Amino acid sequence: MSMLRKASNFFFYFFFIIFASMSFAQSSSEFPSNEPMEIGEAGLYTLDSTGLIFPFVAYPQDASSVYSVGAYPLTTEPLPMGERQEIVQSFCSMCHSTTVISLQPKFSGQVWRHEVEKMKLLGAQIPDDMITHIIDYLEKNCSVKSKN
Amino acid sequence: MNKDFLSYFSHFPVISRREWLKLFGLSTLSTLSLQKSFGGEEARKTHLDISSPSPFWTSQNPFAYEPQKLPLIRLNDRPIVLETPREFFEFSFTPNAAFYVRYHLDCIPNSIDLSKWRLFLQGNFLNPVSFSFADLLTRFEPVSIVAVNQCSGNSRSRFYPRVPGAQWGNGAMGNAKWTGVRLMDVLNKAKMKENTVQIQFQGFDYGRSPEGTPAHSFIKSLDRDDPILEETILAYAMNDEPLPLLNGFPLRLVVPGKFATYWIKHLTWIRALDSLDTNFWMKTAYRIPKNRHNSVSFEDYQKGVSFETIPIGAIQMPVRSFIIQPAGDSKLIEKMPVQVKGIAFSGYGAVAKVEFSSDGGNHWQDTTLGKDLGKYSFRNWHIFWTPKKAGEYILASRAWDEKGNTQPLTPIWNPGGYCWNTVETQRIWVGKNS
Repeated sequence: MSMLRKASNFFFYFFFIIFASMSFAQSSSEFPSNEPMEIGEAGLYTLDSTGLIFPFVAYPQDASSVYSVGAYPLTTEPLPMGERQEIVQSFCSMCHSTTVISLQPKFSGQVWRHEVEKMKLLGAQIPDDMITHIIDYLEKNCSVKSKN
Repeated sequence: MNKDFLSYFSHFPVISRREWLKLFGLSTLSTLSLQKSFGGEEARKTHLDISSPSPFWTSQNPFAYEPQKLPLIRLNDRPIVLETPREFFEFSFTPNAAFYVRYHLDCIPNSIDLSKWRLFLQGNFLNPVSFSFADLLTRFEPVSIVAVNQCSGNSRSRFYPRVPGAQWGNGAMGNAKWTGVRLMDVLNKAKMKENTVQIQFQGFDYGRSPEGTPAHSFIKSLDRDDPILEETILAYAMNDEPLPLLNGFPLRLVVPGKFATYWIKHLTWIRALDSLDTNFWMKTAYRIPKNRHNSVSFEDYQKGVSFETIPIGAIQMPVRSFIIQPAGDSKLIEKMPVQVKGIAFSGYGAVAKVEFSSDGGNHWQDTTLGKDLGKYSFRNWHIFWTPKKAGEYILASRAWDEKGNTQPLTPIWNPGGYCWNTVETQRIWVGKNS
């Protein structure tokens, strides 16, 4: 980790890293549990809103068995401005950036509802009343009738 | 104009037949929307315009710089989704640094310690074992295969009505020489039990939703009796280099002829199953209609008409071909011969023939095929063409594979936006030479 940090500090001016510690919990019936072990690190991202900063971190210049590329750059596409935007921002960003939402064609509310329900099925931890807000925002701001 | 085109478009009440043909670049009527050269913002709007399929070869998004990669077209930054620009497909082999990237889950390895990483064989084996990277290099015979890796949703932005998902152009594919060990050699060391029905694969990448939910683990399974298992390899090299991290370092599954959703990256667990895998990624996601061209009518779908579905792994990748040059980014000159060139491939076997049309599919002529690099590889093709007079032309290419499969002339549709293989067209303007 210190290797990554040193390199990152050296390369980036604006910086945040999302840490994902490897935790292997109990198994479930559908998904077998992973072996408790530390293979490496995953899920490290760093802010690069300019798209101009070369995100590569020099790989560890040593003969060790660790193969590393440093943090991945975030170049997030903002959501369209709208009411309850921050709710969508915070809940949806738990698992993915908003880029993927902003880069969809303007679907009908029905299609968006289906997508949000699919996210819940995938395991998104979003309370039902928030789901309603999210669908509402997408209908108003990312649908055919929207006026952006 | 081909009659098939016309009959199909009458299914779409939303947009007139003529309108559709224009959007699809299949008519020689001039169209305002596609004649002008787009500025960035306008191109982007057009790419995401709900009222038409995207007319562009690749998606219209800014480039992103990612580790070990040239600037590639960014469809998403977390999880990482990158598309390969058109120019790279002039080559038979897609360079590693230009190879597309598609992840479902955002905890993508940033570093892997090979002293700790193992390939685990678990489940319904007589002899569950694990192998280190060194084991794979030294204890098994290395084998190589040239094979196309193509995302199931490649060309999704061609679908009309549009469907949600990564709005790919044609750049969610690549061709590489993959080197590694045979899957069967590894399975034989662990000795599958007789009652094994499927082999399950899981990589080291994972998602932030709770363990046990689909968005925590991306898992795919292949049938034990699928003949492709004999040709499947666990690849540690790509174009004779270590795998880039974003393409699955240190080891990935290579399932020749099948869509890339099965080509598990960062492969860490192989499990023998004694019952069918019912996880989300097999049972719910990546399913396609069991019809011809895996296509259903959008109107029927809207009405809730049910149709039988199969996992996309039940089929091979349908035959496709692409025009790479000329790319429509400049005018050609009347009476000056040019080389039209492109690629073709099929998951069902070798490309037998690629045809070229310069009049929107009315007349076809055979092209010259390039070097045969193996039946799962891209096959280059080219033909010399001289536009006889100034004006607008619709170029098209159509491939046939050794099994006699060819590409449909009409658009297909399914709710997932999978398996697109309709004939691609390229609109070209030719200017006067004096």
